[in-house]
Amino acid sequence: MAMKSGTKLGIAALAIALGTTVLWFRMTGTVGLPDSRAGFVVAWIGAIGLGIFAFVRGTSIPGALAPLLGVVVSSFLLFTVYISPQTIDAAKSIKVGDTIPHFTAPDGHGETFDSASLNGHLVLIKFFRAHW
Amino acid sequence: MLSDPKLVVTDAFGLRNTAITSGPPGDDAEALPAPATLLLDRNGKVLWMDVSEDYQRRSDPSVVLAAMREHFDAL
Repeated sequence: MAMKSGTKLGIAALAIALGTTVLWFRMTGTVGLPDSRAGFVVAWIGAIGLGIFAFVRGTSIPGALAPLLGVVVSSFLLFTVYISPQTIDAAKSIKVGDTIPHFTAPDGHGETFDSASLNGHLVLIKFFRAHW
Repeated sequence: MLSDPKLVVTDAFGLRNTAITSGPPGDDAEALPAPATLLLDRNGKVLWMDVSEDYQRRSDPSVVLAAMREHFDAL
């Protein structure tokens, strides 16, 4: 049975979405994202457009999975780009020359860390989102 | 590695992300710290800091290493 034209377009949409996403994660994994992410955005928008066009052209029921996945994957990655800007309150943030506040926090072993233990040491602190 | 689920330490440093990904005031469910790296001297004074304006783009490790050489080697 010949593949519907919409199905072929849907597969193309999914290929573009997945290929772009794989490249994206490879670059983020090496802290190598370019200053401008316009190329990625264009590719994902293109995948979404192609996926929608695939449905317009008509797909089989199983053939609808490819464009659907392509649209979902591309939309999600576009959303992550949209929400990526960070802003801090400059009036409240610590600045070069300030002394850090005293703090305590639990570590991964259930112990409580006290920042007073840092006295006398050169220190690198990183704030990042993670969970365990 | 330390845990700061209520952003108590993050707020003490003033590094809460106030952009779109943060939840409404009083709701910490979506609150996150802005990705930041700080270098401190032996008295806890901030010598250098790098705060990402975009969580998807952070300073290359070479930038942090260069800052460490510049600020730590002199101490």
